[in-house]
Amino acid sequence: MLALAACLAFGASLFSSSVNGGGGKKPAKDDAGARAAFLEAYKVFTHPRCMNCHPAGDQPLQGDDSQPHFYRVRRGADGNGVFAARCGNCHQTRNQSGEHSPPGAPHPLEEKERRNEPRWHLPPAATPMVFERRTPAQLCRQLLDKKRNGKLTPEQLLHHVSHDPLVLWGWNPGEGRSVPPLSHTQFVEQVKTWIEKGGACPQ
Amino acid sequence: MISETKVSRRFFLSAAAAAGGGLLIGSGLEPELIGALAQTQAKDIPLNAWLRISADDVVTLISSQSEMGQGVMTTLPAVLAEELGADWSRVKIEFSPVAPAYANPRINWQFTGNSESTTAFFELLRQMGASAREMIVAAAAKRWGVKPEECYTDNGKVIHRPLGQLAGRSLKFGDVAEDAAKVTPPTSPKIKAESEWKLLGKPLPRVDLPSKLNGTAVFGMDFSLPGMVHAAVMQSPVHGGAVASFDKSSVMGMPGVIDVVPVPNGVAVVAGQYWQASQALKSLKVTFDDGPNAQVSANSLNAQYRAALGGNVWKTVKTEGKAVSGEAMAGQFAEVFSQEYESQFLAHATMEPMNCTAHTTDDGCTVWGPLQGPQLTQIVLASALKLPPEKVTIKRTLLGGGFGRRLIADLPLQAALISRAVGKPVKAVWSREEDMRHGLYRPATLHRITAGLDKAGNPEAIAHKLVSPSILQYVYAPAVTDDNDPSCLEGLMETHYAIPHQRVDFKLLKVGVPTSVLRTTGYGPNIFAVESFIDELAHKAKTDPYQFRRRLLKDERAIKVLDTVVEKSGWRRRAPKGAGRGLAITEAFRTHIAHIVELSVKNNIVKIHRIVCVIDCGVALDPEICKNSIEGGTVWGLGAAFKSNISFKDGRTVEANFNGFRIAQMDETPPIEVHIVNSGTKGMGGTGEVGPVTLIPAVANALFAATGKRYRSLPLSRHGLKLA
Amino acid sequence: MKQIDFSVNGKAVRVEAEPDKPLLWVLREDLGLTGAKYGCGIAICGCCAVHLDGDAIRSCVTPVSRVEGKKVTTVEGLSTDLSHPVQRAWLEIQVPQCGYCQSGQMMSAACLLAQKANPTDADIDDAMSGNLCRCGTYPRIRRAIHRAAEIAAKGGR
Repeated sequence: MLALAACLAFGASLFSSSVNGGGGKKPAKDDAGARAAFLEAYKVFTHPRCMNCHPAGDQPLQGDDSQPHFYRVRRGADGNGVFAARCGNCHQTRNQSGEHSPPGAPHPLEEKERRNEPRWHLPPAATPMVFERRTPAQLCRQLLDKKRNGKLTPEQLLHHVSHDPLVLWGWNPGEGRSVPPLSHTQFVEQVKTWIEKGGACPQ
Repeated sequence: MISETKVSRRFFLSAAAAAGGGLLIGSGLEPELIGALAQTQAKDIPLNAWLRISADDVVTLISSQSEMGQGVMTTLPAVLAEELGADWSRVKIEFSPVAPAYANPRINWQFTGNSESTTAFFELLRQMGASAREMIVAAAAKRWGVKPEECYTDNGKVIHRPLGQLAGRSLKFGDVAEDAAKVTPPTSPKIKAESEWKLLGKPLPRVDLPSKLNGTAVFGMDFSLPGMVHAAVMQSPVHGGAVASFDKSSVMGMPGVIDVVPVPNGVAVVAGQYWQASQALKSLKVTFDDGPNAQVSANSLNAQYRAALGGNVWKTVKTEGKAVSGEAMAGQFAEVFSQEYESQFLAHATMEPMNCTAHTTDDGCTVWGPLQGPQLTQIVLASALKLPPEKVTIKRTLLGGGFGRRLIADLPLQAALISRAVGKPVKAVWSREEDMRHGLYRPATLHRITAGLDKAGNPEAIAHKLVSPSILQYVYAPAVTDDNDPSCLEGLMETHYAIPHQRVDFKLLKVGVPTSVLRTTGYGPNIFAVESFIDELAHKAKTDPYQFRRRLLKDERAIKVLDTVVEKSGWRRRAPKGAGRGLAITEAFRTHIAHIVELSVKNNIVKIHRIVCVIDCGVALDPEICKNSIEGGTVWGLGAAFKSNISFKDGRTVEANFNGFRIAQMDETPPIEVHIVNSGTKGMGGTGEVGPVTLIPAVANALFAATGKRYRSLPLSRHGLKLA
Repeated sequence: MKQIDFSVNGKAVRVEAEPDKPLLWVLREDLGLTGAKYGCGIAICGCCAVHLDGDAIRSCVTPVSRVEGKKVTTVEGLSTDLSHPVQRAWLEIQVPQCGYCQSGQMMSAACLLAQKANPTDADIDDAMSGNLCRCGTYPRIRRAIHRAAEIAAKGGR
């Protein structure tokens, strides 16, 4: 009972400002609608292209069958790998041609000075943002929990899924890798809907 | 043992055709040449083919054998240096050309392989080194006017010190070299005893190591000539297919591209740099005629093997005692026990992909490459280019692994043909994918062993039925007939187990994929089967697998190796809870070897705790190189046991790179202890490929001990097992 | 084609290359440094490993544009005289067999030791399991990494 109240209060305070920046019409809170949207987005979150880099364990996963990544590659404290197996040692700013070559993604365009550096990593060890084996209810709460989501506001979360090159990569993953069941546009739409309708979580 | 049977054109070409056309060797080759060469003897080997001493005291030793990590370019010249008394720190080593002086004396054929560099050349090199020493001593003694018996060599000098005197005089080798060359070589020089060795029997600094540590070592991939261009090669993806058409214009004009040239069964894009050639190759419009093997698949091959095993076409290659076949054993023995074992197709997957450089002109052809088979290369190129063999010069670089793949002349031939077409030196390179998919694979085998047992469960009779494609067909065709290939039978024709009645029936299978020699040759799959089967008999008889084997062995060296591995491994002590130990022993490549593996299994993840290996190779001329080789062979064996696999679909190899063809990794490799038993120089054996032979069945036997499950087909990944 | 300036083993170099040409082929074919090797082309074997500002990158998949203005070290740059602790340990323990993978092994090992002076066996597993060796020298590599740590600790650089 206490937990539920705390959760509701927490959710209310997060959504005190709407994602429209307060200028436009504030959508009505619609728990059913929000949940439905989240369940759609959940299909993407748990697709290998996203889940493989949001693993439960210390190793990233790879492939459509989500096998442990080759060669003991693991998270490391900052999520960038360890020693000679740091993510950027193999992964570049774009995909390579040919099957089974390492995929890649760049830094956001605005970071001009890092345009030649790859941006490929797991969440850091302190906030692993696990998707693997999370139920919709668990994942939803986790995404909204500032203690576990890298201190992101819902707006920032929406920005992340809309614009982060690493997220966008999921829909341009290179030869031999499937894409998530929703298009990126549809996915962003569902996340936006979920947040705008109040961010309720499935039970 | 390769016997020198006369080969006929029909047999040779049919072996090649069976694997899908003369894809490797080119057409128009005269196989009688190979057989004929094998029958002439190389007499009067000139000493100065093997060692030179210049007037300014530089000792140059020649390495007939190729260096692919087995240390042979250090150890065999060291045999010469030992007898000679040379200063090892100052000797220079060169690779030899192709010449009769450098032929392996056992079969009079120049090659590096079959783990026989040491066994074939050891005595010859001792003789030559000792001869040279006596010639130097004779020359010095004459110059001093003293008795040769009062002189000896040491560390690059010849020294005169009469008995009883403390001091003497000396001359450098270079000072007497010219005179020594005029001395008649002695017919029976005095060879040093093992107890007198200063270089052999101890670890020597390997001569190739410094360059392998500072990036200056020249492998085939690194070789370079002014004006050299590069060729990226693509062959028919279906084994045995051919190019139907290609459109040169689809790539001419791309950066650096010079030409597009056909090669046997393939096509090459030639460009200034390899990167340019390989990029352009991706854009080349080319169509292939798949040929007769486009339906070959894992299923079709499996059906072929099964039909052969169940069929009636066998060649009986060994009979001993009553030589009862498995089917005829019923009623003759207390019990009959039969099992089947399978080993998989394997790729060599040398770390250095296939490549070779050649420069062909009207006058001749020179080849530079990582070659194990320089003589075969010379013959093949001479025939294909219509040149006399002496106009084909073969120069060898270091090899980034060989394992038998580089015995074949396919890359040299491609490079030579492309060079002729473009009129420049050409380095032909296969990408890793091309290399993996156009391997000449270790043939898969299907093997039924049936034993007639006495009341105590000991085998009185054993009968093998082995189905295997050819191993030697491309490497040494004179040994292969329509229904026999001696390499396929290694480990079955001789065994140290005293089983009175033995029979080996063999079916040489013709398959639509290319097969050839690969590290462990016939021993690998055969000893996996034999040592698993013996282990099954031991467990069936409720006897300790060590004791069961010991009772069957009569050979002293084998027993010593067996007892030693048991002692060193703690076999007699109970294994830790949940762990099991497995044992395997054999003689392969003239070396006695035994492995004990201790492991545990949880949720199909296999953790190997410890591996102990004991070998008797006669004398380890360099114990450090020997241990490295056995450790490495053990690691190779782990990969072959657990995960390495080549499979086929639609006539093509499925695996393209190391993501598909898996080998062992650092984190999967436990500590490996190697112990060397010294039994003297009379029984020298090879070590290059013997490591995996007993490791693999020892793993299978350990798995049984740990889990009660018996695995009879490889790799173990097909049973869901993974290395931790 | 683009002019790309960077430094290799302490020396400034300028190459003219397509920006996405892999660094491996720039090193081998444009600069004549053949220590880094081609083994697989998909970053799965480690033969091509070199250092980029201290990271052990796989040069077969790294576009040369990535190293513009940066420092690259190859095996040739570990020392001029085999005095780097990794090279000394490799020599002492006679690690290589064929040697083709060893440039990459040493670069990965040097990277590990630069980040952790006294690595455990688990650290070695983490750092080195992506460097394949067909000859199976892993047990020796492991011993040599521990030995290199000792040599470095005693002031051998």
